[in-house]
Amino acid sequence: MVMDAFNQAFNSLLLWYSAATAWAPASVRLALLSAAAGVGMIWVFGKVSNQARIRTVKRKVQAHLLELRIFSDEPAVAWRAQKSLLRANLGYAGLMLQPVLVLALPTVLLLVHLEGFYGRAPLAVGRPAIVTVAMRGPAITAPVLMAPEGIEIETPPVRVLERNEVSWRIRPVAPVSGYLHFTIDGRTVSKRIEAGGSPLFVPGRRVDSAFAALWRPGEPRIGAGNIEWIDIRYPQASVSLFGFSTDWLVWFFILSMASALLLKGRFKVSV
Amino acid sequence: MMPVYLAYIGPGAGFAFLGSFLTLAVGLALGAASLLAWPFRMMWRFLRGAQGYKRAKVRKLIFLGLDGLDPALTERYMKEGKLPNMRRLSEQGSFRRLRTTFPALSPVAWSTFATGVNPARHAMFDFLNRNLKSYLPELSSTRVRDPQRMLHIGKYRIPLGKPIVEMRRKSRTFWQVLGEHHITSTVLRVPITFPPEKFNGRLLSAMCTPDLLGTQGTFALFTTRAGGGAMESGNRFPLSKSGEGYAGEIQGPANSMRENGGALKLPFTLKPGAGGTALLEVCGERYRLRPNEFTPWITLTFRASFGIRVKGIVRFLLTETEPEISLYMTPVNIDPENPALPISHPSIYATYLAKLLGAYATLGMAEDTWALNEQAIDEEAFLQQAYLTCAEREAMFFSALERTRRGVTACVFDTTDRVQHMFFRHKDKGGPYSRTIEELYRRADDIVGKTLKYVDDGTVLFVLSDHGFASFERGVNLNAWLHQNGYLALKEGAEGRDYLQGIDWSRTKAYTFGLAGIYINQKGREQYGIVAPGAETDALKLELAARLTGLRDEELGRTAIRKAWPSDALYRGPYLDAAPDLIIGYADGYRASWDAAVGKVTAAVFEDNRKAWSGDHCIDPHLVPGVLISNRRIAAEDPGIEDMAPTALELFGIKPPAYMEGRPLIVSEPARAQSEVAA
Repeated sequence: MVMDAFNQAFNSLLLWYSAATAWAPASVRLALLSAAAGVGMIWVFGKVSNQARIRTVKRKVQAHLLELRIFSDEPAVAWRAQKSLLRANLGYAGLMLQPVLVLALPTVLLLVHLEGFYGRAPLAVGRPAIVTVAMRGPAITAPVLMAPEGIEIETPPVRVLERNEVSWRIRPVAPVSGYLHFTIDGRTVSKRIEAGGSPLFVPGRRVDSAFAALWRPGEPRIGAGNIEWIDIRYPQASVSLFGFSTDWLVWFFILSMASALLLKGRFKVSV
Repeated sequence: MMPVYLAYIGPGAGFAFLGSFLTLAVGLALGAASLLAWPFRMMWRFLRGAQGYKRAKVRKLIFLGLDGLDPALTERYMKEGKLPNMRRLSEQGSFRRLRTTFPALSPVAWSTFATGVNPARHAMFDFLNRNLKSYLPELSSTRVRDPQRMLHIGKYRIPLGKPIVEMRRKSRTFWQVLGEHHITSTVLRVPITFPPEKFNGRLLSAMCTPDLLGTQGTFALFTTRAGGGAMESGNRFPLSKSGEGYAGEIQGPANSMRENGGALKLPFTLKPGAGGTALLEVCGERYRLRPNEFTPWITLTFRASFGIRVKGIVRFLLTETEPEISLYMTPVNIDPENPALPISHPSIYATYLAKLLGAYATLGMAEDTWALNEQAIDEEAFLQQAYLTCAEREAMFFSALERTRRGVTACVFDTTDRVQHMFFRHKDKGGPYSRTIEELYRRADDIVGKTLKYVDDGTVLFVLSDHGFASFERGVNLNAWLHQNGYLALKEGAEGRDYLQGIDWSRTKAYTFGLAGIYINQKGREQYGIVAPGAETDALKLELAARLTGLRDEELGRTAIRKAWPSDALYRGPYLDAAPDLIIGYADGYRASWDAAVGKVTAAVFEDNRKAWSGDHCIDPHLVPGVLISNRRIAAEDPGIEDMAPTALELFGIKPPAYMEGRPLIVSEPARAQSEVAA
């Protein structure tokens, strides 16, 4: 319950942001979000890291680099500078541990949520896709799939017995934003499906356990005893920015880093 | 996706990863380049016939300069067992009195140390020299000018080049000669090395390096105290009430990007707190100030036009909080991490030291003697500042020694000079500062002790000073004497003022300013000269020398001047004309008065020195020799400071050039090696 509430709150926030900026292309929305995330992270970084020691160790690193140039005629000194440089670098990496640990959870949560917004493309109309349900044990009765209008179920369920999985091949024939309904051993669960169009959000695998829901937060937990997860294999989305098209995570990485780098002076943060 | 997510956890991890990786990559590349280039470098040296260390008699040479260390005091404290390291060194090697220069002034003596020539060959005779056209004093060692070309756009000026910084000391230093033979030197804070000259080695500039305002050190006192009179040096600024605290404004360098731009300013606030503390807010940072405790170096960023920023560093000291509040600020030193002017060779050396060891004073005279003279700070604060500077110097020196396997390391510590200047009046007089100079010598001895850890059989160590010390009780205004004796005339109704103002040059034969001596107002040389060069000048010099030698202070019944020398009797060289025409050898207890030093003509010839600056050395050089202590036995009984440069060359197997006038000191092998041979 808590996990569902948390995921829903987080997702609602992102949905609200996406809806509010729906006028802009996904790339712009991502750019703004990345920049904001960079600012937030640099602020937190500044608060939770040992800024004085980071500054000191960075100066040491820079000093040893300069030392390599200044004493280039003294191989012994240059060699010692190399060792000092390595030591200082390790110290620097060590100082990053604390802020990284603090930032790890919120950052990962943000990233896994954003995957649904920028990482997956809706199913293409006319192209087949695989839907899979994984169970903890064998199903007693034959699983049944009901699809919304616009989705054709092309094959009967195919069981992979050793993995307790059942798969169907489906094919969207029209843009759809609806639910697939699965009836297994008398219980019916649903899974959202997006095909065609430009949806703001494409949920990934729907899962049952709370821990798994932490990493797959797109939909509420299944809550049905025997079903472990339900997955639709969506195509991967790419984001095009400045004429380059690549995975959203790359852009997020670049843009959040850039904004943090640009604004670290204003926040008086040394990284 | 999980591993991908975990690979990026915020900019911290991103920067850490990228930064570390790049640093290591650059480090490895530089290291590899250095190693790969080494054989080629050796080959190049071989092809150029550079001898390198082939004929060197030593592997390492260390010059530990303790400015102003007095031989008499050193001998006394050694005898009393207070300087165990110097004593050990003297017993193992040698202790000599080191002849100093005429005049016995640091810029002169250290220039002779570096070049091995007399002042008429290196053109350093005093801190100041006069402009022959305007008679205005100029810094003798350096000239800093605006860039030659400027782009003028409305009220803005855009420099099309760097400021021109000119070294006015002539001749060549021994480290330049060694460098040509691929023997490297690390030269730290040896006076008269600003701007730094290019050579094969590393150098950090010292004495005469200006502050960010372009002066030789202008401190600021921000205070709520009303009035207080004008200061001879330094500036007093009001603190105005602002909310719960006070507000003030720091004056920075002139805004050179605007026509008549005035000084760049930085506002600050000061809020008194509990326990005599105060909260200082400047440049967007807050600092908790504790009473009578210097802050660490604080970076000030002055913003000129077009986003140009100039950085300086200062230390603050809260000198009082109740009922008045006063805040002392050191002169704005050039930030060594981002120097506005060249202060090291290579230029990154200053940055390197700052990054490795922390910020440090870059001003030529880092210890603020004028602040104590003006009572902007007290004795305790001065000592605190002096020893903070000393600690910075120590860190640099020992860091250099750590990195020197062979070649020269030369470092000069000024603390010994500055503390003696300011505490001589207290020496052995009882009271809290009676033993300050003794303590200073003990600290100097500690530095010698630490240095000895870097001395082995292949190392020669010279601990030396440029001059000794004497007390300065009475000032002599030779302009007054010249005036009273008809050699100098004032304009009708005028009073003598600073910088030779008020003098009637058409009736003046001789004048003085600075500390060294007297100038003849010579026709064809000075703009309004009246004394013909040649016989007339020579006769006047002899006449003045004769009359001044033995000049008595009748009020105290003491001789004030032991001897006056025509400079051509002391010097030989191409820059003789720039020298004072007479060098004055004051007696112990006397010196040029403060007014005479700035070219003022006063009514009285003699006056008491009432400043804290109570020790000096600009007297008869025979009275204030320096010290030379070495781990090797020195054959010469009367070594001079001019002998050090040729000695350095000789020790590395290089024949001193003919222009060097000093003679290499013959230093024997280490004592242990000798005993082995004897056995």
